[in-house]
Amino acid sequence: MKTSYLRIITFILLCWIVMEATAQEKPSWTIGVKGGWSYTSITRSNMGRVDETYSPLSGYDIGVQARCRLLDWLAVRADLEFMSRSHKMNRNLHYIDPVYTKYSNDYLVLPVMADFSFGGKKLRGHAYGGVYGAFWMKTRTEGATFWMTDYYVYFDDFKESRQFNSEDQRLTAGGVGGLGLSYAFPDVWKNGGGPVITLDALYYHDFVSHHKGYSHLSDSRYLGTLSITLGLAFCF
Amino acid sequence: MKRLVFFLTLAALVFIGCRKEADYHPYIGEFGDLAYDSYSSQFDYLWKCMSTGYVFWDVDETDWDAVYVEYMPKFQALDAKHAAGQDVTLAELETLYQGVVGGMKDHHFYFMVKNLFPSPNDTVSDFFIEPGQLEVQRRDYYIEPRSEEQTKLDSFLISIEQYYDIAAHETASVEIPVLEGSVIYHYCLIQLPDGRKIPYLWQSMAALTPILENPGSDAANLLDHWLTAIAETPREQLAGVILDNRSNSGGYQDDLDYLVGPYIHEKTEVFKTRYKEGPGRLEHSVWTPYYLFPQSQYHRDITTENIPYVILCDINSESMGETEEMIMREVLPTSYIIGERTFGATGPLQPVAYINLTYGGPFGNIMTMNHDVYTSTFEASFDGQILEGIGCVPDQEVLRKNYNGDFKPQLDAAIEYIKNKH
Repeated sequence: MKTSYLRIITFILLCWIVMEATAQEKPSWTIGVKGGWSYTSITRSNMGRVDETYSPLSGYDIGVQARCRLLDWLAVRADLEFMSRSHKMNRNLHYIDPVYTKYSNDYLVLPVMADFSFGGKKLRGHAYGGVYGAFWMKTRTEGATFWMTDYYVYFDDFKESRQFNSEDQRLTAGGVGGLGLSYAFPDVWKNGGGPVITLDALYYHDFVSHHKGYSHLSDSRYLGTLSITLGLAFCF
Repeated sequence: MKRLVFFLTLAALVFIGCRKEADYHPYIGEFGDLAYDSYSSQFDYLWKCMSTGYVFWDVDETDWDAVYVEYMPKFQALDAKHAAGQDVTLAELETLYQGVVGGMKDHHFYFMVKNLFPSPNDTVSDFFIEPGQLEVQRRDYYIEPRSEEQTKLDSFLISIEQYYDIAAHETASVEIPVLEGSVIYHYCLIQLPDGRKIPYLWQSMAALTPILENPGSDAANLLDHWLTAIAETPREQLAGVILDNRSNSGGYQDDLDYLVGPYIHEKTEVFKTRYKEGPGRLEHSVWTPYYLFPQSQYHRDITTENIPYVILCDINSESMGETEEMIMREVLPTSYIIGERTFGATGPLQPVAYINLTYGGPFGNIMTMNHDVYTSTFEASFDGQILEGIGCVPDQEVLRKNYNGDFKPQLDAAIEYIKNKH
């Protein structure tokens, strides 16, 4: 995990160096908000729990975005967003298959990306590549559990918050990349700037497990989130 | 465009291989084939199954990672010894596993292991360790094993007419195959000087369920007499009730339907359970309420009629033998517990055939897998407290050790309590 953090720091430093080296006299900024839909899947082992299946869940993604244009075709972009990264576990053994748990996780995510753009003055296409840090803020569970007597199994619905424990890795990180579109209304105000509508599809790929595992047993679990957001920003 | 391609390729190269795969984990429910072929792989298998399936990691003080670091080299040393053609004795193996599991909190825990390569000097090929039993034996009020205590209590009750005025006395003994033993009952109708009655029952196991499901036997009739005496004795003639759970080794959860069900009038939460929901040691399900439903048979409103209900318990009251009084304390306001702090085995269990319920609980098969581990499937909480290793603390402590092991003082205290409630 230390190697992962080292890679993030190296990448951000490289971005900063590129930014300084290519900085124009008046770098242009585009700052705004975004919001939309997230879809998260989990990559994990069942660790011998042979009938369990894991499936993705939809959620939200809402935040702010900021881009600093270095060259016509290159900007550095950093967002700060609240993102739902949720997934589900189902039991499949015939007498226990009503049991399931939805794990709803709220993350604060900070992606830093290179933004390669192409196209005209108004409509432009974007390709993104970068890294992100994420903080696991809150977790809730919902589903069906069971209790049993000597002869009968009873199922019970539940919905409750979960306290974090020593197995949870709350600070995670990964690589992020994707595509986007922007439609600008230039020259709306004095310095040539104006509003910009953004549409982005980004994929957040964990490379830090959110489960710490143990010194002699790795139980690594990674989230992958597709985020599609519509944004409104202002270029100045 | 070239720069874009270059950058994306570089980014991909940087991030490919960042993810580490989870380690292989065996399926805890395997009982068909041998899972290992060396002392170190046996230890590794058992360590992994315990890591994922043991339900008490949140309250157990054992550092399971440190256990691996300390003991794996020792099991590897046994493999080296065997490879060199030397004997590995059962005593050597038992000494190591004593260090591995000897301090576990689960008081149902029973750990049996077979020597993969038996020494010709050993007369048996397997051993077992019961850490709960070891802890209980260290308590300053411990006297002797349950089997001895049961025999002595049975003898005391056979001669109970010497000590009290007994209007009726029945006894029965029934073998219960599921519980791997026989349950002994004594039903006595104790009579006070003023003529009022106390229906008394001693049960050496919690086996009302299989017996009362098949009415007509001597044991079923005995239990029916006790339950009917509680339900139908006119209030002015009924001084109170005594349930004697001393040296009760536990058994059926559904016994609560007979012991508590008749005295509640609505669906009642009596405790909560949770189980392993994931392979992480602290991955539990939510706490789920366990409910009892009111039973019309033997029904009586003990609470409204203010009928004292005393439960006797001692250090050898284990599992359902102690859970029953924990529940009665919560549900019956007129209950009162006299005796000693109990064994501390509070986690409900399911048989090894149901390991797939939660991937926690009993696992293994000594014949095919060379190990057999008996451990709780569920963790239980009583009024928000986990009492594993602690047990039921009585309302009134009467220690048999203070009376040379005599069983009478605790029963005297129960009768005295009921008399004073008049």
